[in-house]
Amino acid sequence: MIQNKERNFRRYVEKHFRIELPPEIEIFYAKGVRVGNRSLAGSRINGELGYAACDFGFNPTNSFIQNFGHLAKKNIVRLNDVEAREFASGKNIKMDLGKKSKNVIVNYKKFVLGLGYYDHEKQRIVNKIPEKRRRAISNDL
Amino acid sequence: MEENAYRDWLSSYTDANSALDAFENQKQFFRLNTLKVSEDAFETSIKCKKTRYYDAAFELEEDIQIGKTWEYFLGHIYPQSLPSILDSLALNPEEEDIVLDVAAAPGSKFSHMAMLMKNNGVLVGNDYKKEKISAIYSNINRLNILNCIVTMRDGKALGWKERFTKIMLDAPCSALGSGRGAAKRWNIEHSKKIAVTQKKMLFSAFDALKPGGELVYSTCTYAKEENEEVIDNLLQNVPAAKLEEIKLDIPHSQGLSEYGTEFRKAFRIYPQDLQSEGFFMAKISKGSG
Repeated sequence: MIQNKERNFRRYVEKHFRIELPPEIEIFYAKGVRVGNRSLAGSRINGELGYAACDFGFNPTNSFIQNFGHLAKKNIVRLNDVEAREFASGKNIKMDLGKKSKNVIVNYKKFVLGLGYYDHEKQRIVNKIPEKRRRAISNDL
Repeated sequence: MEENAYRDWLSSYTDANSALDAFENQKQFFRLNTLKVSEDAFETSIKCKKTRYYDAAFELEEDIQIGKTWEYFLGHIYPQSLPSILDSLALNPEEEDIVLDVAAAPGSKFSHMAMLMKNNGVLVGNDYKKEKISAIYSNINRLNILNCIVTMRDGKALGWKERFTKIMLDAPCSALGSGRGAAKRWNIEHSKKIAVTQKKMLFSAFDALKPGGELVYSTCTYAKEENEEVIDNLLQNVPAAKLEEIKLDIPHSQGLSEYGTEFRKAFRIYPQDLQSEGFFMAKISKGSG
């Protein structure tokens, strides 16, 4: 149900990633599940509030994960330098994470690169970074 | 306009040779996005140094494509000219403000204002075309802007009455201070035509400003028709509008006093001032009228 979608999304990220959002952050439904600061409530200005937090189903957007993934305690994958560059450029990453497909937060060093989907049948992390955000990185971190 | 004629025209404002030379040899700058990384925690392999004017503004010391760096990918930095960075400091939005950016795309000043507001208050980013809104969103997502509302209204007829405590109007302009090749395509009639739109936008934005509020009007061009004259048109017609001092300690020239001595409060930034693009900024307050 639409009115519960934001609540269910929050439950999903809390349970699946163990992300506890700071109290000033609100998840709300307005033409989709969105995330924004609580200060937006009551602003009475018609427009698009915050940004999209949830894609289809309960899948988080890559932006939500890039910005809140550092709070996660579960379902985190760490890449090495070569893998991180490949992931940033949009490639899928070969990896065996067990027998269950799931969303994962992809990290490199202490930074969140974005959202991945572990496909257990093909034993790879499917890249969920939107095409426009992908980059062939030229420097070191 | 033909090169020599343009040089002559520019000489009526500043040392044209210095301006054109500095324009061709501009330094590259970027701004730290403290919504994602604090100044203390910022580590980078990019060769750069802090500017003396603002701790979050850095000057590049190597020729790189900044969009291909990890720092850009992670949303830690935003490539932006130095005057454009300083423009938001002139408005100085704070955490409790309700701010409107009238022509927000692609989101340079908009995202900087979110940073100055520490993602609190309310920041409305407006523009008038879907493609422009899409550019704003790309930055909202990458830079983690959470206090924003995005709207798509005609800047000439915003339809808001006294809603905002601070307003940024970085108006569409002839871009003589920033656009490579802009001078070749430009003539004074071009500026006069754009000024019609700019005047309408300024009136509309000023309507949206609360009494006691402040508005920054800026452009990246030199023509007085698009700068002082646009503001003068507002001051002549709206008694509540008043020019204010800009509290920034940066090299600049004063606004043109041929429109009145109060125009000295406006900043004309020529390329030789900051080794960056040419810029104009003025701060206007709204009294009770």
